[in-house]
This record gives sequence, C-alpha cells and structure tokens, in this order.
Amino acid sequence: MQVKIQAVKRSNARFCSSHGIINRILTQKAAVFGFVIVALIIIIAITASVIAPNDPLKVNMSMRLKGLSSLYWLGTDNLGRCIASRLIWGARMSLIYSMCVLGLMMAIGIPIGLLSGYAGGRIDTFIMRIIDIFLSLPTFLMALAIAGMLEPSVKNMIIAMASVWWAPYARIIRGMAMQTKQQDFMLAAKAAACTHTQIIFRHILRNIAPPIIVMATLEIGSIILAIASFSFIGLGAQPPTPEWGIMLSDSKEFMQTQPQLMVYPGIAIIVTVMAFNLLGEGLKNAIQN
Amino acid sequence: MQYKTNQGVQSENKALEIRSLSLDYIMPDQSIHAVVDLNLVARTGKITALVGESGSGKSTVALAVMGIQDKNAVISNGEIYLAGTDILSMPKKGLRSYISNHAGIIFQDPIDSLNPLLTVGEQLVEAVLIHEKITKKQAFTIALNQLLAVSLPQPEELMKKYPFMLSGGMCQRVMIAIASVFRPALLIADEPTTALDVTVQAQILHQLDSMRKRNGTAILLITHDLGVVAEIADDVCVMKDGYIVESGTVDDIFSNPQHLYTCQLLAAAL
Repeated sequence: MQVKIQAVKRSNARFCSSHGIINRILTQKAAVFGFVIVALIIIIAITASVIAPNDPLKVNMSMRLKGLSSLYWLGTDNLGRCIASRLIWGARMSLIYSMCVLGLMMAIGIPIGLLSGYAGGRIDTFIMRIIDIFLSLPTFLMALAIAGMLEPSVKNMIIAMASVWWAPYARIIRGMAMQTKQQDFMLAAKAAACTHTQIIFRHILRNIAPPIIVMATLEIGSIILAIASFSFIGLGAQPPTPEWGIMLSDSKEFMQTQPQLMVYPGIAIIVTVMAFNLLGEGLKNAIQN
Repeated sequence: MQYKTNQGVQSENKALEIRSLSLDYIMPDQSIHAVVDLNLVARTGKITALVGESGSGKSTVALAVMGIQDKNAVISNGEIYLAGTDILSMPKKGLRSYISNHAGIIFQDPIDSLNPLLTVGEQLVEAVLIHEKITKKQAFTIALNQLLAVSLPQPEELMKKYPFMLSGGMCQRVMIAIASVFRPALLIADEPTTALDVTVQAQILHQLDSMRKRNGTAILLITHDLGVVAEIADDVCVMKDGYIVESGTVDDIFSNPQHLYTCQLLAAAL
C-alpha cells in the first residue's frame, strides 16, 4: 500500500517535469490520434478567416443546394452559403463557446470545491448539501429550463450550462482537496506559518491540478455536444451564426432530398467530440500509471 | 498588550516551558484525554527527549506547541511558554507567525513532509519569505546558505530538484534547513530518524547536535528509540498514556529508573 502511494506521488510529481508525461502519452496510439485531431481542429479554428474559401454568411440564392465544386468544396446549403466555410467557422464557434462554458464552470467549481474541502466542518456540510441539490436535478433538462426562461442567446446558454454543471466538478475538487489536506507537507506548511491563501493555491491547487486538467479535457467533448444540441433546438447560438448545431437544424427540412447537409456537421461534431475524449482518456491513463 | 510570560527565576534558558497542559480529543461519542497535566521544559542549547510508546501523546504535545493540532483537539488547561510568552493566551491573529518565528518542526517521514510538486528551492524560498519581507533574490541567497549549513553538497543543483529525486536523508536535511531558517529558539524533531536507515540516522542526529551547539537551539526530540536518547539527549521525559511518568537527566533515568514503566522501556530496548 505504502509503495503504491509513493508511486502515485512520484508520478504526480513527474507530471510537472513535462517530458515524463509527454512520453507516456506518446506510447498510447489512441491518445496521439486524439491529440493530432484536436490540434488540427484548433489550428482550423484559429485560422478560420484565412482558410475558409468563402464568407460563411454570404447568401447566394442562385447557387442554393449545389454539389461539390472547386469554389464550394462541400457544396452549398439551402440559402446558397458555402458549407465548407460554415463548418470551418463552426469549429471556431464551438471551441470558443465550449471554452467559455468550461472556464465559467471552473471559475465557480474550483473555488467552491477548494473552500469546502479545505475549511471542512459546517461550511463543508452546507456547501455539500447545496451541491447535492444540484446533483439531484437532471443537468441537461435543468440547463434547458434556465436557458428557456432567459432570452435565447449564446451568452444565456453559456450561463445556463455553467450554472448547472459546476456541481459535480466542485464535489470532485473538494474530495481531492480533502485528500491533499491530510498529507504531511500540509502540516509542515502550516507549521511554517503559510497563510490560508498560500496553502490553498500554492500547495493544494497545484497538487490537484493534473486531475483537474484531465477532467476538463474529458468534459470538453460533452460540452461541445451540448452546445450543438442547444443551438439545434434554438436556445443557443442564433442563425445565421455558422455553428454546427444550427447547420444541423437548418438542414433538417431537406433531410429527404439533400441528406449530405446533415452529414457534414454531424461528422464534424462526432470527430471533435471523439478527439477530445481520446485525448482526455490518454491524459488520464498517463497520470494514473 | 502584554501577554502572560514566564519571566522569573531561570526563565532565560527555557526555550519551551509547558505547565500542566491537558489536551482532549473530542469525538462525537466520547472524548479521549491525550495529554494530562503535563509539565515539560526544553532548555536552550540542550536536547530534551520525550520518549514513550505509540499513542502515548508525544506527537500531540509537539503539534500543540506548534499550534497545528487537529480541530477536534481541545486544550482544556495549562500554559505553553514559547520563548517566554504563553502562546495559549495569545490572540489567534499573529499566533502562527509568532510560533514559526520561535519554533520549527521536522516530521517522521521527510519525503512526505515536502510538497512533491515544488522544488526544494521554491519551498525554502517560500519559508524564508514568510519570515522576512525581502526580495526573492535575497531569499534565494539565504536559502543557499541554509542548505550549506545542513551540509548538503551542491546546493545550487539541489535547489532545482524535486523531493522525489532526493533520498530520505537529504529530504530530512532540507526539512531541517526549512525549520531552522531564522534560528528558532526551539526545534521539535518528531521521530526524525524513524523512517531512515541506521547510517543516515546517525548523520541526521549529528546534524541536530551540531545545530544545537552552533545556534544554541533547544531541541525537543520525540522518539521511542532509547539508543538515540542515550546517545545525544541531555534531559529525558518518559510519557505514558498522556502522563509524564518520570523525568530527569539522561544519567539519572538510565542508571536509576524510578518508575516501573521506565524500567520496562529500558528492558525492552536492551
């Protein structure tokens, strides 16, 4: 048992010496695959304005529902807009939105989790009961309800999702904080008169950062999926934004005659979600071994 | 505001004086008297050994002196004079920095006592900066000297290393370096050698001994190893079930033990 704990600690420590973790990710083919695709998607998202062949918003009614061509790589949709350009811009939108949701979730979940785990006692009990309430609600429905009550917009969607999804995060972080709090070096830090802020951020947060990063990576996939779902039903990004969920929604009327309109954004969502999940799993394995 | 002090007869050379300390662990269904009416003195420049079996309350005393006892530990009675001032009568604010200015502590498992994700340098510099408002560069120099003082070779290299790269003995030296940054009046060593092998044990003990000689630090050595006690301690307190059953100089205790439990301990060590 002792040996195992030591091993975990050492692997934890090696996380910060970057070559160790990178080597261990490189040994997993699936993770490398995921990483390459994620990197590609990020590059596409960043350079969207350069590599997109056409303006994703430009309507051209004379060119509607055309097939593949050198000008319109993947053809055009029902309003004559370039599908390829819309997909490329959609990557940027999906990443930006999901980062916002993730950032907001972390901004709520990490401080609450740390406070709960570090303070313990009544504060902990109080926070945990609130988190229990959040966990007892079906998260997606709850976010839908909140987004539905607010005006449909990207900002409100992000707020709705983050305000419901921080709870499991906070709970896991609280557990990790409690575990770290029990370790000997915490006692040493206290004896050296480290302030609470120093202990929480320098000693606890740094020690639980690797698993938080893994959780975040694993979460991005489902966030992207959820954002597309929200946009699909009209509670998230609003047309004509080039967003994968909206593209799906726009194309559903032509499902019978032009099924490829649904296939393209569908594939984009599947590939992105899968890539983030593979990368997250790879990271998880790398810090666990 | 004036706090309670133990000024008076011969108080100058008492780095730590504990008077009739009682401490209970409060559990939901019961309370455990971990320390009962304990009196103890650690004299400046001397090594005071606190010996006893596991669960006798030795470490609880150490934690109480450092003010880092568990939340459910309640001090019901007594005074702890650290460098002349009763820390139990001090307000909570500023208490920790007062204690850490006058006392340092090292623990049983040196590798676990260091944060695995911070380099030795970062942790030492942090300890220095807690005590004094100086620039990072100045703190770095102090930290380097501190590593040299505990006879660690190549301190520049060592500052960049993580605890898992060091041996147990080296980690314990780093802990001593951290605990003694500003020459505290008292150093508590809570079973400092239990997790180390025998040759390293001797080196660490030698280190503590030379620190006491050089800085005049009072050392409270908590151990169950009577061999170690016989080797370096000046005074001995024998603890059992929260009580000090016998105390005196090493020679008195070893040559003429009065209490049955002390006899048993000595017999067990032989």
